[in-house]
Amino acid sequence: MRNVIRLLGFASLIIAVVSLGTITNAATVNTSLSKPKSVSAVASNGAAVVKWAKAVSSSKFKITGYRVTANKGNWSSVKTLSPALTSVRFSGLTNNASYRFTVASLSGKYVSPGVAVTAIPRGAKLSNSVLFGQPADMFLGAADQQLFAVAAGPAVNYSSLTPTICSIIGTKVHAKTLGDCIIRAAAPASELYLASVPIDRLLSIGVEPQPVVKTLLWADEFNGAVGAAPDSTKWTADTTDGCGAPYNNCGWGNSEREYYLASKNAQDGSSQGNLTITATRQTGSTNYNCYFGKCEWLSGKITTYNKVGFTYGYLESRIKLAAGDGTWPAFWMLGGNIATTPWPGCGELDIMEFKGTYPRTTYGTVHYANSGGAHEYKGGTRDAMVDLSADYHRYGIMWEPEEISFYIDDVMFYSMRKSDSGLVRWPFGPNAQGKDPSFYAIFNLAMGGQFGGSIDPTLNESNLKIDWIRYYSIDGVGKVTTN
Amino acid sequence: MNKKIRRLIVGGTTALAILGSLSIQPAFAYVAPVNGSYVMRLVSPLPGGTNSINLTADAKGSWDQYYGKGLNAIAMYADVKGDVSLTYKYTNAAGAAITNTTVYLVVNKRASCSKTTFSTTMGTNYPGSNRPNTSAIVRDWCGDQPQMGAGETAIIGRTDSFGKATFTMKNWNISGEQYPAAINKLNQYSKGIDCGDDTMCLQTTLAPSMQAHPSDSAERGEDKDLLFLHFVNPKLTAVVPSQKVKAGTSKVITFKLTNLAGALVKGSTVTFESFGEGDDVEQWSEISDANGKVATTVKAPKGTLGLQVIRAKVYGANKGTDAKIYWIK
Repeated sequence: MRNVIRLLGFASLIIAVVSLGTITNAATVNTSLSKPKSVSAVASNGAAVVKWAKAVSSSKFKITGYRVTANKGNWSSVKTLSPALTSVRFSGLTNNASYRFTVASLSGKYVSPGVAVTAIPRGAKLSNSVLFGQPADMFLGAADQQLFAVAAGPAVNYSSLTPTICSIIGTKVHAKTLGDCIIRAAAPASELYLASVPIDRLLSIGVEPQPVVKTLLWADEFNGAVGAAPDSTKWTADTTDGCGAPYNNCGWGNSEREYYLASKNAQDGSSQGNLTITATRQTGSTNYNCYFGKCEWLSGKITTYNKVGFTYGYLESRIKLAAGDGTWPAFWMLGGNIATTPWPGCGELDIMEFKGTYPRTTYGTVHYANSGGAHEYKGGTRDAMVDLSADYHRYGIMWEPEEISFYIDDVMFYSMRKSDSGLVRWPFGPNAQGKDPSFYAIFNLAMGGQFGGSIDPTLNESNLKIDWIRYYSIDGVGKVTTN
Repeated sequence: MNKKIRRLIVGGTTALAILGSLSIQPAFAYVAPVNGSYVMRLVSPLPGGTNSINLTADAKGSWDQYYGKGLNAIAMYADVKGDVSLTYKYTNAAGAAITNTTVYLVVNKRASCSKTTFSTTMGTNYPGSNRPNTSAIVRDWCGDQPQMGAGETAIIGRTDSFGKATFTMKNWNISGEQYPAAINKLNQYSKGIDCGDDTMCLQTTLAPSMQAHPSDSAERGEDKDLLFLHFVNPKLTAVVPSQKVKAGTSKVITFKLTNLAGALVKGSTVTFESFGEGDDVEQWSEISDANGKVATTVKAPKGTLGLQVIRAKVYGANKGTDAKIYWIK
């Protein structure tokens, strides 16, 4: 709390208790001699000023001066002053100690009875700050919420600035009705502290919402036997380097360096159950020719095309990404109408893309054709602050007809609305006839290419491990289709 | 004329009018704002007289036309390199909370002459097709500069069941502004703030929105709390501002760091410079301790006479008082 206090100026405290006192100096006390009047003492920081009104001279006793004595225990200080003065300052006093100041009139060898007052010098008052924790929002009908605030000085007082919405009961806030409740915390002034600056906090009082209904509609847990291919009722392996029918897309459109084989997609038979897509460098002679010559890498790619489609809802997969510079694993979707509406018009949703050269970052991207038919994309990234190839993480997409949001481990990192595309209709919502789209899911492990970049020449193998893929409807939105 | 440039001219008009040297009339007709369909208010920290200055009145008749009628313009201070956490509440025009909805905080709005970069661990939406490799939110530029708009970044949030979304970021402002007289005595642009070479001082603008990069018409449909963040360094005070020291001995010079509220600032790196007589400082850089203090040692050979000034800087800026040593025999 020391950090929040500071000295502010000079503060003074006046304690003036008038009483009769005695003068112990050598002069003779004469009760007929007029005493000083209206004696007072004003204490400040280590000092005090004693004031009085002049005593009245008489025909017998002419006032020749004043004697002011300061006493604290056995300590005393005496000042003898001319009759013209009516105040004197004592400095070097000890703060927080009680001093007795006695003023007496002098007339030659005589001294009047003293008039005494007491005063306590004080240091400057300390400023006072309140640290007020942000109260949580409340549902109407919830138990009163304890407030937390501390101050260096006196205890904090709470008050409601919105008494029709909430009230204070002791140190708790009570929700009375729906709305925004503003609570003020303040500490009053005290002998040592100034009053604090009040701190206001706003909390909202709302109605408890209905829980989201998340229904599992489809999944593959990849619990097959070791070496088993993925379930053929759900998955098809894409093969080759993309050249030739049916793909006619050499290097898969991105100058990728891999050649896909179905055998590179295999379940591991572990207790967890994973599908492993393995990329291996081809050394020496190989039977596989790629668009650029002898293939460098063999890898795998599977899709649910023409077997399982998804319309809206939440699709998620638990994945351990492939390590090494140049790897480019992806979990993504394409419009099931790709045969009749070629890319990019069919739409593409990249739920997770990853570059081995940036092992902490996942990419989420929406690809589509703009109103002129040209490819456009928008997307976001998330720096997970950990190496995503070191462990499993969940990558998901929340797909609504007019908005698509990307998640990693339940944290949304990008969202795009249809309005962001500038399109009247986009491929991820109903078409002109009101028909909802259907997209199919894809896993692959690409190597190099325009996104993956240069491949580490010392890298000979990398693995993409998929624990599961699950698909849910959210509040009834989402359905499995065949595309 | 580009709208944003016009906006700058309006602001420039204000600043220049203060100088009393020139007046530029905006080349457009004022459009009175109307109520928006959405309302978004800063609820934490709750703006008030103790932590902010309401600049709303300054907006009337000029740039407020680019927002809904319920625009509030708020200026606040924040510590250089400090964390910034802002919670906004999003409602419709009737006051009903907009729940479980993707919302945005647009940071370093285009044309805002932003003074700082930020970083965030939250999701971001960059202009165009940019997909950032980092979590940086770079500066945006003034409206008269070709890069204007390139830095504007929207932090993505999701409202909770109360219609609230919290956005967190860290600022990386290097120089900071001059230290204010008090937390609620902000250096408003209309009150003579040092704006450097910027056209106007509505810099480092943050605004909530329902859209990542709202169009003009979308912004006019939103009543919002526009926030101008001003970044200040901790104040450095020499514990003993001036003292005489016998040449041939050494002396420990201590500085204290305090923030806007007068609280001690620990953990800030302070560098020292020396001018005048005496040897160089022995410690060039120190981190403030739990009491907000840093110290360095100076000494001078026997026979040295004269003044040595020890200057402490935090984040490269000199904000506070020097320490003076008078070397004597």
